[in-house]
Amino acid sequence: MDSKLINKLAKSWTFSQAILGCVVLYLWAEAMMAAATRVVVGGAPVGASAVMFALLLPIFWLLVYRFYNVIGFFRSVRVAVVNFSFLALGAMVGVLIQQEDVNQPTSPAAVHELVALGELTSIEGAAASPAAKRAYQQFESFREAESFFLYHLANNIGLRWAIGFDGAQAGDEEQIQQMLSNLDYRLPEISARFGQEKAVAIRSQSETGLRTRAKNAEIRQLESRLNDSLFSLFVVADNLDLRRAYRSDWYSMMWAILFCGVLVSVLRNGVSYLLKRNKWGFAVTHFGVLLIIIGGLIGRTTEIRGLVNLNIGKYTSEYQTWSRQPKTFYYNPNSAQEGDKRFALKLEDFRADQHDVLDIIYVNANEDGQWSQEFDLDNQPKLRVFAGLEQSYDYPIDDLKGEPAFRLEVLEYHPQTTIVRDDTTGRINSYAPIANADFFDPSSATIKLKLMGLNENGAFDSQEIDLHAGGEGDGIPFSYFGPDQERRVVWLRFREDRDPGGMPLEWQSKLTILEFDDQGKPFKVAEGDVRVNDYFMHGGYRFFQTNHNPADPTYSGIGVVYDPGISWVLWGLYCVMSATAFIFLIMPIIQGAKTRGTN
Amino acid sequence: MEFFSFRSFLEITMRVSMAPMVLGFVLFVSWVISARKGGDHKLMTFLSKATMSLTGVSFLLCCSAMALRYVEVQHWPAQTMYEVIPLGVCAAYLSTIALYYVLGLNKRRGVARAFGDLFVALIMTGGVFTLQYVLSLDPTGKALPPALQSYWFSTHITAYMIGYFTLIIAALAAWLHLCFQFWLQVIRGTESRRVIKVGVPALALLAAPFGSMALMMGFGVFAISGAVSAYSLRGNREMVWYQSWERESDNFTWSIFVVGFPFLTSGLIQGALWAQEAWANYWGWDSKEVSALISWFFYVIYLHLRMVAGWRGEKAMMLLCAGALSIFITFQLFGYLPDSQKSLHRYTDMESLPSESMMRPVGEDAN
Repeated sequence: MDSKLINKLAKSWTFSQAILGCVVLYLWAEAMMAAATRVVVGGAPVGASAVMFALLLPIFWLLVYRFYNVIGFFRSVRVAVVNFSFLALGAMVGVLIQQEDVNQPTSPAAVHELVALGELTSIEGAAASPAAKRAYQQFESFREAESFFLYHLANNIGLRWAIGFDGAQAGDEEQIQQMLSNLDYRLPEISARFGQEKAVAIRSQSETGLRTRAKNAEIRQLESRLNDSLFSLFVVADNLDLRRAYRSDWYSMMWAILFCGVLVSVLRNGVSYLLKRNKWGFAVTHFGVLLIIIGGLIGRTTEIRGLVNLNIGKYTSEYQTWSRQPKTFYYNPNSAQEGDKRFALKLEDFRADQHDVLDIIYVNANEDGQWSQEFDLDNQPKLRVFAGLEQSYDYPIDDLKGEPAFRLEVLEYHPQTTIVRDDTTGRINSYAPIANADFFDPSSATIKLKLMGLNENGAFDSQEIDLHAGGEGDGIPFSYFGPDQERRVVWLRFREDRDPGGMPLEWQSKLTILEFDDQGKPFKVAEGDVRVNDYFMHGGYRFFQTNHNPADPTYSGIGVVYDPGISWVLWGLYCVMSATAFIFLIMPIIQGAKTRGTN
Repeated sequence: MEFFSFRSFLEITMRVSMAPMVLGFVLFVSWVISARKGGDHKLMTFLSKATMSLTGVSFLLCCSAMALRYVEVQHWPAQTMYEVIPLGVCAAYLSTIALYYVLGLNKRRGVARAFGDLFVALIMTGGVFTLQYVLSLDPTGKALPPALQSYWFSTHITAYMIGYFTLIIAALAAWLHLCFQFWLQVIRGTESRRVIKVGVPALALLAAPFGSMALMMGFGVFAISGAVSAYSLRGNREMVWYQSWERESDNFTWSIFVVGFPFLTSGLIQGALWAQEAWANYWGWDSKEVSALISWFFYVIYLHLRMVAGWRGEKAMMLLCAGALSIFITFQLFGYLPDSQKSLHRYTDMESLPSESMMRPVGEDAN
């Protein structure tokens, strides 16, 4: 190939021409895929085939009669930059226009039906098909997200008037300040008792809560005000594939141009050129990009993603794809026929391990001898425990850096322990740690606490206690004298954290793979554990921990992915990452060292 | 409050960081004045070196704060903004120290140190105000959800922080140069280049909506550079202290970019590798991922335009500034974007429960 001519042709592309060339290709991709879909799906196969042929003609002409120009186009750095800019713009569209759920695509017919229904503020009671109702729900989500964005944009840049709101901030500022000053009155006491961080957290959460409530009310108003405009945007975005930007044909074309550009650039001077030491980094980085795009293409055409719902002891060869299609575990799922070799997945065990926490609740005894919380807080302080944890409470209110009146230290923490009982009385004697305990062993944790509190003479009394998270008993009270010489009672409760809104520490499933003999009897062929961040592979499938259900502790949701493109992409990612570090960090250091040596 | 606590050390770091900030500004003003009037440079050179030593002390204090937070929360302190932003400040201080030596700022003599002192003072100003902001945030330590319990958690976020803050420093260096160029043209009335005449005020305006820090670094630097230029150029004199920087600014910003870009790339790719391990999905087109990809595209465009298309000087520097805005959106404003409401990356958001799964919850029907 005449590389000089190609270089000359590549340099001849101006930015305007590059933009034009790229846009023509994006539009060509849209038209081509639309025609191809009609040919494959039906409708107007003859007309669509003619359109396809007409669209392919100029491409063939270019490849046959203007081959060097085509190579020059892809070789041009201006084309590459323009295409990169369009890739970035496409990504921006995807971020600014709420994307549809890939599992629940909106059908064009449903959107047309909504348009025909006219302006709606709610789908309730409208004579619409289930698909149109689902599309309207998607519009509501779209409207909420876009209003949220527009509101914050205008709010942050001082253009509240432009979206129809008066004042500098949302809500009644005077009222918010009044409520915050009421809170500020109580904060020194909380700061003294629980530490400054707790007081700052309460202040910050309260202010955020008050302001968010006021903002949310205005966002709801904006939603109803912009309903019609946002519906128009929703329809346009849907028609132009802006709601599925990353899966659109125009976006795929951008990646195709990038692929061709990188390929042509890498091979512009032949392979031997790439073997020069100073070109290694360039070659590996761009080779990595090619691998990523190839892997992505393989994934897009062959990947299957789904979910297996299992309970402990159960097995199945069926799973559901994300779009709720039933599938069977065949070894070659994309070419499998009924009767091919299949396998099943069995859940041998599952456990969601909860965080172990220690509640620190100050209490008062009322006239009836009943305990009540001294501080009426939304979230009473709780500590996630670990061996060596030290906490101090109850500082002098006028000297927050002074001596605390109450300290606790976790001397020992054993995540899984058994209860040792007295043989005769059956009472709890102690708690014994389970050596080499399996993750799936549900035994509860025990801590040994050291408590130190001021006594009435101003000296510290200390006490060591064991607390078990197993649910026997509701904790223990500990009494001491505060810096003001008042008696305090703090209730200490050790438990597994199952509070609403919390997350488990870890969840894990033990899986086995079963195959079937001639009589259909299952036998084990492989086994493995899965947790989030650690999947298990069999037959090209990746199984990973994805769901659990607090109401059913025997249930585990196992994600299933079959994607032969992953390994391509992984190699590509490693290439790009290592070569970028090599080019920009390692090479300059090596060259700097050489230069210093020469000097 | 415990002395050996994260919060306490953050406060100390903030106070100590004020010293190089103030000293840097004082030195810069002194250099500008001495460039016009002459004077003894020995003391100023000594103080200039002391500025960097104080930056080193601030860095060590910030690292100590992070170590204390590690002990407090029992994981790499990078989950909430209360933890991530100080990690970024640590990265910014580390980058400042590294760049000071990589760029040879320590070897400069006399008034040639002026720009370096201003540069360090501005970074420390950013550090001080950022830490002050952090101290107003909700300090509640959160437990790591299962998806974040990975070895990628520390390396992915740390690489990003180094990349982000180094590239923001590159943008700051570029912005300083652009502002001085603008004022040079305005005050001298020389033939003005459109990229400067229009681009600089446009960038200052563009940065304004991005919060007080962007406003300070945008309009603040623009105004300070105007005042300093007016003083230095009074009576048809030259900006002697600026001349060496004027020549080298393009290489200077490029060198900072060269340090930051591999970390940005590494952060992006580590995220993909991590997602692959967690969900067998290396790229989910999550809005946070896409925002990060947009920033990366900006820098790839800058890289190709500079290396292949031969873009140098102000045009390339404008791209660096735009890249920093993109980073700021990804890092701080991402939560406001329409598509971020269902993002899997809302771990730093104190009000929302992170989504662990790429699937819908059990029992939620497609219909």
